[in-house]
Amino acid sequence: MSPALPRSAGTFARLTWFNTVRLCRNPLLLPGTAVGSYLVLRPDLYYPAGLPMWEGWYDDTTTTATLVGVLMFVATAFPAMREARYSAAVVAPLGRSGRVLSLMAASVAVSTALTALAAGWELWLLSSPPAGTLSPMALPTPFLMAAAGPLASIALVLWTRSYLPLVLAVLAVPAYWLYGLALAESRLQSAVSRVEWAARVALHPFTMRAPAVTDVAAHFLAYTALVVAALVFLGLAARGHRARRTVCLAAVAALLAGAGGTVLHGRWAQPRDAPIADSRIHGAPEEPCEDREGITYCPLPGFEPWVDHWQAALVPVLDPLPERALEPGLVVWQESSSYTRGLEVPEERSVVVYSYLDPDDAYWRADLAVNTGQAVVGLPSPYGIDACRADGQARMVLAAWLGAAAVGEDRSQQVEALAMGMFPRLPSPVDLETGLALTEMPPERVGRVLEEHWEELSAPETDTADLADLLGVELRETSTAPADGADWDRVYPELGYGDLSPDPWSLTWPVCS
Amino acid sequence: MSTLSAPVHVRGLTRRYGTRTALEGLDLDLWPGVTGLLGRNGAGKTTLLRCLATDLEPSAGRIRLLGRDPERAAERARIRARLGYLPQNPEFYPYFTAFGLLDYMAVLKELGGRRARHDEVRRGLERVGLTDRRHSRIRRLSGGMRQRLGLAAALLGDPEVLLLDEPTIGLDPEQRIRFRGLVSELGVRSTVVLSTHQIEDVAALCQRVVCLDEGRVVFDGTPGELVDRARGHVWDHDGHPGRGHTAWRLADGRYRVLTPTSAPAGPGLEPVEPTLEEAYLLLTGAR
Repeated sequence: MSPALPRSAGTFARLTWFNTVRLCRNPLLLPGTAVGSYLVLRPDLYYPAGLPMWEGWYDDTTTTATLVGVLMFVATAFPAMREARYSAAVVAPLGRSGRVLSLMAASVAVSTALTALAAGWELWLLSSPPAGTLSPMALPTPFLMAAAGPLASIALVLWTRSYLPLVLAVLAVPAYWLYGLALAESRLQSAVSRVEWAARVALHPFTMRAPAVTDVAAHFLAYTALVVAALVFLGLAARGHRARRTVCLAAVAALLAGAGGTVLHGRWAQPRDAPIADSRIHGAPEEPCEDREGITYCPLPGFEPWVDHWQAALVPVLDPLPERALEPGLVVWQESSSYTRGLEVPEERSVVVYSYLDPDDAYWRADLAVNTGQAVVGLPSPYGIDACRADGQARMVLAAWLGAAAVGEDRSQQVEALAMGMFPRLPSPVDLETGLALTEMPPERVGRVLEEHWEELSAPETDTADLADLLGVELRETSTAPADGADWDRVYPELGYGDLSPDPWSLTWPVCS
Repeated sequence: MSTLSAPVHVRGLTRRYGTRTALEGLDLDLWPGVTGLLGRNGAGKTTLLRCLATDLEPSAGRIRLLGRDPERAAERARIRARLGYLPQNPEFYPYFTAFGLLDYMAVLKELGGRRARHDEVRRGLERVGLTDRRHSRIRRLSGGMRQRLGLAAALLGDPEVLLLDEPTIGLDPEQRIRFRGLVSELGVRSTVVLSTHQIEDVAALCQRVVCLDEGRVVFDGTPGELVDRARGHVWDHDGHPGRGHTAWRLADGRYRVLTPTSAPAGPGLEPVEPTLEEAYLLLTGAR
C-alpha cells in the first residue's frame, strides 16, 4: 500500500491541538520552564548588569530555549511512546506517519511557545529598550534549538520503543550533580566532562556566538535547521515500509552531511580571532563614528544611544583638562564582547569601551574615566599586549585622579576609583600619597596647574614628586619603589589592601615611554 | 445486487508471512448484518480482519471496502473514517484516561468539532458502562474494562464496517449480554464481522457464519445451515465410544459423541439435535 495521506489539514490540526493541550498539561513542563526562566533571569533581576542589550537578551533566550528543549525531551517521551508501542490498535484516516508528524508539530509548537513566552517575559522586564542589533537570521535559532529536544526524544522512542529519553534524563541529572562534587579525576567526572563537551559542541560548533553578525548567524541557523530536519526524518524512518525508511535514512544522512559541511564552512569563513567589519553587522550605519566636543565616538551598530552616556561620564574627566590635551583628537570606540571588531582606530589616543554600560555604577564611570585619562596622557592600557610600568610618573597619577573625579562627591568612592586607576601600574607610596592629595584639592586648582604645565605633566619624564611640587603638596612618603600591602594600608587604610603584594609579572614590564 | 457493491468485497485474497501462507485465495462478500468468523487458532481469522481493517497489506488479491480501494491512500483514509476495528488483545497507552483515549480516537476518526466529539465520547462510555470510570487512567482499569473501552473505541461514530477480533474476552456475563445488544443493534445497518471462539456469541448474534481452516473458507452460510450439516452426526451414548471419536462426558454421566460420517459408530447411540458448537467442531474435525 502507498503511504496514507491525511484526509485534510483539519484532522491533522485537530490532532496537533489535542497533542499540544496534552503536552501543556505535563506537570513537569510549565513549572519547569517557569523555574528555569526565573533562574536564567534572576541575575538580571537582582544584580542588574548594566543597560539591556539585544545580545544579552539573545543569550538568555538561547539558555532558556536549551532548558525548554531538555524539558520537552522528557515530556515528549510519553506521547511518543503512545505512538511507538500503543498504536497497533489504531486504524484511522491519519496514518502512523501523519500521527508522528502531528506529535512533532505539537511538540515544536509547545517548545516554540514556551521559548517565546520566556523571551517575551524578559523583554517585558527590561528597564529600557535594548541596545545593539540582532540579525534576523539569528532569531529562529533558539526556537529550533528548543524544538530539537522533543524531536530527538520522539526519534529515540520510536527507534527503541522504550522510555530511553527518561532513562537518559534520570541518569544525566545525578551524574551532573556528582560531577560538581568531590570526584576529581574519577572516571565519572571524565565521562561527564566528555559528554558535556560533546553537548556543547553539538549545541554550538562554531568559533563564536555573534547574533548581530549576519553571516555568522546564518551559518548557525542553517546548522540548527539541518539538524532539526534530520531529527524529523530520523523519527519518520523508525516506522513504515522499507523503501520509505530507506529514503528517510538517506535524507538523514544527507542533512547531517549538510550540517557538518555548514560547520566546516562556518569555521573556515570566520576563524576565532579574525576581526569582523561593521559592514557584516546587521543594521550597521554607513558611518560608524560621530564627533562630539573634540572626541570621536564609534559605537557598535545599535549602541548609538550609549554615546550620550559615555559623553556624560567623560564631562568631569575633560573639564579640568586644557583644550590642547585633546589634540590630536581622542577616539572612544566600542569593542564587541563576542567578537573582535574590525575598526580602524589610532592605537594611541583611543579608549576602548565594551558592551556594558551602567550610568549609576561608579566603578563603570571610574573605569571609563581612568581609561580616558590614560589615553589623554599617552599611557597604554595595563591589560594590553603593550602594557608597561608607569610607577613614579606624574601622568599615571593624573590619569587615576581623572577617574576618581568622574565618580562624584562620595569620598570613599573617589578613593576606590583612585586605587583602581593606580593599582595595576605598581604605584609607589609617593604615587599613592600624591593621588590622595589630588582628590582632596578643588578640581579648579588642579585644572589651573594642568593648564599651565600640561606638556610637562603629560610627559613620561616628569615624576610624581614634580607634580606634588607644582601642586604645593608636602609629601610624607619618600619611597619610589612599588608599594606593598603595608604601604597601601598606611596611605589608604580604608581599603584593606594590606594583604596585597606587587604582581611579579608586572614587575617585568618595560617602563612606559 | 452486484457483489461489487457489498460493503466488504474480497477476491483471491492471499496473505503470506515469509514462507507461511495465512490466507489463500479467499473470496468473500459481506453485507450489513453480523457475520461470525470461526476457525481454529492459526486458521487466518486475525489476518483476515487485519487485512479488512487496512492494517495489513495483502500479498495478492483484491479488497473493496465500502466500494473503495484501500490500496489507494486517499480512499484508504476514507475507508478508515467509516470503519471500526477492535484488534485482538488491544494495548492502550496506560497514561490516558478512559475519556482521553476515546477523545484521541474520536479525533483520529474525524468526529467533528470538540463538542460533537465529546458528546460521542460520552455516548461511547455510556454504551459500555464506563461512564463512572471516565477519569480513571487505563493502567488502573481491569482487563474487562479495557476490553470494553476498546469496544467503545471501535464503536465510535457508528462505523459502517465493524471488525471485532475476540471482543468478549474478559467480559462478565452481564457485559456479554450488553455487548450482544450493542452489536446486534449496530448489525441492523452496519456490516459487522465478529471473530471469536465463543460459539454462543455467534449463535446469539450472527445471521451468517464463515469458517476458516488453514487460510481457506470451509463453510459460508447461516448458523442454521451449519447446524443442518451436523444432523445425524451427534449422538449420546452410555459409555465412551473409544478412541478415534470426538466425545466428552455430559453432566448426566452419558457421553456426547460426534461422528464425521452419518453412520452410527456403534450400538447404543442415540441421535440428538446438534448445537452450533457441535456443528463447528464437526466441521473443523476437532479431536
